[in-house]
Amino acid sequence: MTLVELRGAEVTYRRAGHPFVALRDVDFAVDKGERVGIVGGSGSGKTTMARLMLGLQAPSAGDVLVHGRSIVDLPERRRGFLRASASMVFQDPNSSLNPRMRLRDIVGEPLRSPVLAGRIAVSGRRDEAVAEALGSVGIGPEMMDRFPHELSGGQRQRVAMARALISDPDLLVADEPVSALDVSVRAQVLNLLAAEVRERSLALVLVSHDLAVVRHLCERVVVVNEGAIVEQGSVAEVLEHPQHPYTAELIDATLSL
Amino acid sequence: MRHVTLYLGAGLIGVIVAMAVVGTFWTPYPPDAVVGPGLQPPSAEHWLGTDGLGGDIFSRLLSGARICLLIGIGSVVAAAVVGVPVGIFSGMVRGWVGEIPARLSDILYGFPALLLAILFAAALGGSTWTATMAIALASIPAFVRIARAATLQVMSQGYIEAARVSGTPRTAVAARHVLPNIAPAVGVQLSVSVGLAILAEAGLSYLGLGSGPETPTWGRMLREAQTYVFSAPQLALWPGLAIAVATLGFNLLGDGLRDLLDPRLREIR
Amino acid sequence: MSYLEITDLHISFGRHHRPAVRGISLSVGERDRLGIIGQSGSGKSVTALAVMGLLPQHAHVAGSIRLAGRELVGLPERDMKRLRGDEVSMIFQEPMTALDPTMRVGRQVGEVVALHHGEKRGGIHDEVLDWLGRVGISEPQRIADSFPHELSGGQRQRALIAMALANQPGLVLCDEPTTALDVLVQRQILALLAEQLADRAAIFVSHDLAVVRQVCRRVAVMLEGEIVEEGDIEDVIAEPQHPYTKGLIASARVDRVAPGEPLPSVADYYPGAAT
Repeated sequence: MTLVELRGAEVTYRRAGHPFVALRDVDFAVDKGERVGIVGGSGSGKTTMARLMLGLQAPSAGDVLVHGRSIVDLPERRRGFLRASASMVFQDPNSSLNPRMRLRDIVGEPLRSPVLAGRIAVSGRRDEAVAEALGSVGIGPEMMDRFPHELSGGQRQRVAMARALISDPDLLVADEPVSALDVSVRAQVLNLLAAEVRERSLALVLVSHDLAVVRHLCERVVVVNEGAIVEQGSVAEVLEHPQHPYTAELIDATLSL
Repeated sequence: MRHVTLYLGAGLIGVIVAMAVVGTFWTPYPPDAVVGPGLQPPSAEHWLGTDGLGGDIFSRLLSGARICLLIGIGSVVAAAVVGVPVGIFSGMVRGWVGEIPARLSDILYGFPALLLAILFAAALGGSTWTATMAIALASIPAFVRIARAATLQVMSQGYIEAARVSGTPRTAVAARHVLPNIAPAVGVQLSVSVGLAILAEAGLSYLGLGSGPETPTWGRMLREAQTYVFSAPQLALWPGLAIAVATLGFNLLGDGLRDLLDPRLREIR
Repeated sequence: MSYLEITDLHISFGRHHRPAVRGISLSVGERDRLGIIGQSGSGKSVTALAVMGLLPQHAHVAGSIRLAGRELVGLPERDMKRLRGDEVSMIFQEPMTALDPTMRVGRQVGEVVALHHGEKRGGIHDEVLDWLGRVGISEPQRIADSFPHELSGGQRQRALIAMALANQPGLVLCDEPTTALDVLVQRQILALLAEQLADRAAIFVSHDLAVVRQVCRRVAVMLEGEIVEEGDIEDVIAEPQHPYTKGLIASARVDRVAPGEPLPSVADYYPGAAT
């Protein structure tokens, strides 16, 4: 069953007066429970693909379907089904967590959205759900009243994960979830991400330029360059036997110890 | 010492507030009555002397502090209540719909408080009320601008996108995310605007476009002192000093708050 | 003789003297490139800022930092200013914030070059283009005429490297210069740094051992304001001594863990590591 689909998606910006094609005619689909990596350099269009899937950006041409329904011309108030089924972990938790909100309110925010508010009516129950979500990412209930700046970088990204998981989505989109973190805390966040995805049978779209991370977490990989998909296939196949020179270059540039 | 301007500003405002509080409950003489011969020098009975009509200057000064704060703060709060939501709206809505309020407020920016007050006075007659309205109206554009600029900056933050992904409606984004994060900038503007409003009020009263003769505002005291500017210059000194202290106080507080809240000046960790 | 000699350096902040660096000693020879590895809050960036004389006013510095025999601790800002750019320069993590967004790139590089040239401003333009070319910018004239936001992340970082090198400083400090870049651009920038820093003293601050390895021969591992391990970088990677270093190396080897297996984390080796 297809959760999200990009059909002939195209994104064009005007940059300094000139049209700039960020994405050209991309077809891409994620099935239920599938773990897909989108890899490419900066400016390749990989983040644009993620943003399209969540309706954070509209395509200049083509269509975006969630559960078979186009979200492109839908006003925000009618996108409830999208908000209930897909969520996102952003690259930099310093930016994606509101510095003036407590963890309780940050993680609880999705539950206050019109589409989920019905599920948990009483605010006391909301706190329970928040405590549980925080607990699942290894953050105790005593931290609920802390502010983001009182946490370490890894803890902040785990809070962002708790927020993404509290709505019990089918699809998690993670945009470079560890690249803003110290090497020393990446493993913990990745382990947690892997465990949650497995336990909840989540579909995962992992946007990354780090092939080792994609290899570790995903089954399928899509390589994007200059706004187009240049290669795709199973992770083992693509990373062991790259067909496209760009893929080979990415593999070659990945540093390891 | 750190935060000098902040403390100095707060101290000066404290002096004015103390004067206003005292003046509300007690003045040595009724501020609007003739209590002795005119143009008396300072004495034990009249601490700062008497004015040209025989009113007690100290009493009038105390009484004027309250009016000055009421008009200054009242007009600016009214301006913020209108200007901040408009600025947030203008910063959050993309395209020409968001541009319109910004451009309208730019046009309003071109009208000084004085001109608006003259228009109001011509239409409605000069009074405390028209002066407050004129100052409030003239203070709105500053709030629209600051709120819009701060909102645009907040809108580029990741937590706004995260809120959208969480399905948060736009009004909730404005209340939960935008308003608390632009509050520091608005607070600074409040303080600076109150300083300007006090100065504007004094100017309007001085020109006779503000409060009537029954209300002893500092601007009106200056206006009355004008007649005796060569024979008794001290009459202009006291209200002038009071206006300067109040205006300076709010401006310093605004600057101090700006320094305090500027993230670039926060200590590195 | 060492070009930079840090002896028993202590740095703390604020009224409560919150410690950031607790008595470290380091030396960097004239053509030596030292990597400093550590997690955020380990004191690695603070150490670099101290060498640049860029610590905030409420920092308390004790100990000694000698650059080419000259003591920098306690040096008045006026003298420090003269040293910056001429003797020591720095390449920052985020080139967008290190460049002035309102000024064309060529002029920003030119200002640094002019400091060195003194009065004779004639050859500045050519020298700017020369430097932009040397850091691998293919159309120097076009880039010089551009504003920072019109460049790619890699081009900005190259421009910043040109600014840092323009006065031929003896010591170059790099603070996570490739963290904001993708792997392809990162490889180019690291190659450029390895080439340009070959005949200078350099300190390369990073949280990523694999990155530091591309540029440096020696490495010091910092943890909670102290140096817990120091040595030839290949030796440290092959035989790490401190549990924190062991954890760092294990956790970086994502490619050696079978998919589905949990990755080793630093905290498995060293419980005090950041979470």
